[in-house]
Amino acid sequence: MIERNDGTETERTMMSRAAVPDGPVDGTVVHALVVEAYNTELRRVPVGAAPLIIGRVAPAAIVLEGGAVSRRHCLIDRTGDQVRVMDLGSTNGTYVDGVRVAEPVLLADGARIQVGPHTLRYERRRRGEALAAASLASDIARARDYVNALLPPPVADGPVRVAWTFQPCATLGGDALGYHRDGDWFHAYILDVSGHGVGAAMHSVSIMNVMRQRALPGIDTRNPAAVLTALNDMFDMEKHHGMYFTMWYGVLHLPTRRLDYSAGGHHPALLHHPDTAEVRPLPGRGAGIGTMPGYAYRTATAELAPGTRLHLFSDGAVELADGIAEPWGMAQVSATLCAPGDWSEAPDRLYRRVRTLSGMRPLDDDFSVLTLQLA
Amino acid sequence: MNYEIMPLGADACRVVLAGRADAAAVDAVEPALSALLRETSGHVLVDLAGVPFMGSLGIRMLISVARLVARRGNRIAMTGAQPQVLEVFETMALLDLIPHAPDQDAALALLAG
Repeated sequence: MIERNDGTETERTMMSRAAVPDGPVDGTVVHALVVEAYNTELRRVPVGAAPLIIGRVAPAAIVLEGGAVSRRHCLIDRTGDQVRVMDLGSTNGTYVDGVRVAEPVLLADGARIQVGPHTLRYERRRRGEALAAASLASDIARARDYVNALLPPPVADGPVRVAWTFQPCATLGGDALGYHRDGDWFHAYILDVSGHGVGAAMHSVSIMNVMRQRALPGIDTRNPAAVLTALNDMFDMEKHHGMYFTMWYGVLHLPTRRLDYSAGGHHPALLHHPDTAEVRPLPGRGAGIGTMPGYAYRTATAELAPGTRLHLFSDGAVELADGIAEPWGMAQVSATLCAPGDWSEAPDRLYRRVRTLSGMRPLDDDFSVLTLQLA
Repeated sequence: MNYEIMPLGADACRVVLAGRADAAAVDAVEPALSALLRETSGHVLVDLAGVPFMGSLGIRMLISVARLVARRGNRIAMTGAQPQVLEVFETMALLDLIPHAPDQDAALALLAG
């Protein structure tokens, strides 16, 4: 095969083919690579009769960014129902399930091909199953767009400024966040539904809509414990397909800077004062919302100094997959969020750190961080 | 994650879980584990000594088991949880629902009421 070198570099993964090939009847086996590349959605690239080159530049059929990817890195070749990968003399090597490819390797269903920081998963499916998978991926993309559309815009001025980063994982993880001003009060919350997928996202949307529309009859929404108690009653997991959620909810009284908050099974929020570098977790022991009918949530209170920052975050910021290069937990999350720097960059700073630690692999869970900066 | 269910005295069974209770692992074992537990009777002791990580779906599984056991009028307890897992249970107030005992004898005492 001759490489055409037009010198074109690209900054993102490109696909050269449609998601599902035309033609074959149901029952025909189709082969595909699911491309898990940095900062892109999961993509499914069919493996047809013609060999596919994977490399850093066009005309490779699958173009992947990054210095660890060679211009022509490896080749996928199908003969009948057998699909092989061979390395094309790449600098950093091609790996299949962790083993460096020396000779052409026959791929089993589910094999994971590593090219630099990117992973490509080989799938062998009947055409009907492939169509169903493509349809599900499309549904997930629509659900993700809907969740995004419900998130409030960042706040750039006023007594409480707000920045956030919300990065749903490929299968959707059920995170949500929100905030609004109510006269002298400022409300903020973050929540994380157990489980993944469209079901979890639908659940988080239901809860977000209750919060957005203040649809908690008779409940004083300035009382965090009352809000969580009402949500616990409304979203009993037995009545919601076994799903529960964790939540941190706080209400700040702007004239006095008194923060009332309550949490249901969620990570503590972090108070950070940039002048003194003091960091204080606001713990929130309480049952996951929907797990224990009748649970009595409690409101705690903190007095905030001017200039205080408040960071809220979800599981996806704390719990990374196995096999990362260094320890990661609350202490590291806190150090990253509270590192010196512009307040509004804290959520993105943590996201970049988590992505780097994860070897730029797609995250297993939604990543959500909400930062509030008091005047 | 692996699991094993074995009899424990005349009126209880012991469920031993081992491995990370992350989303994929729980998805893989929960249907079979729940089906098996529905066929048992008596109290349930969950041994978590071999579980280094408990994610939200793992907790959901434990709550589902607790509700199943409570519905049939029996008790449930846990033992052996590693410190980081116990911390998650504390945050979730899960110990209000499923008590945790430091060893099997103490757990048996909890089950005996």
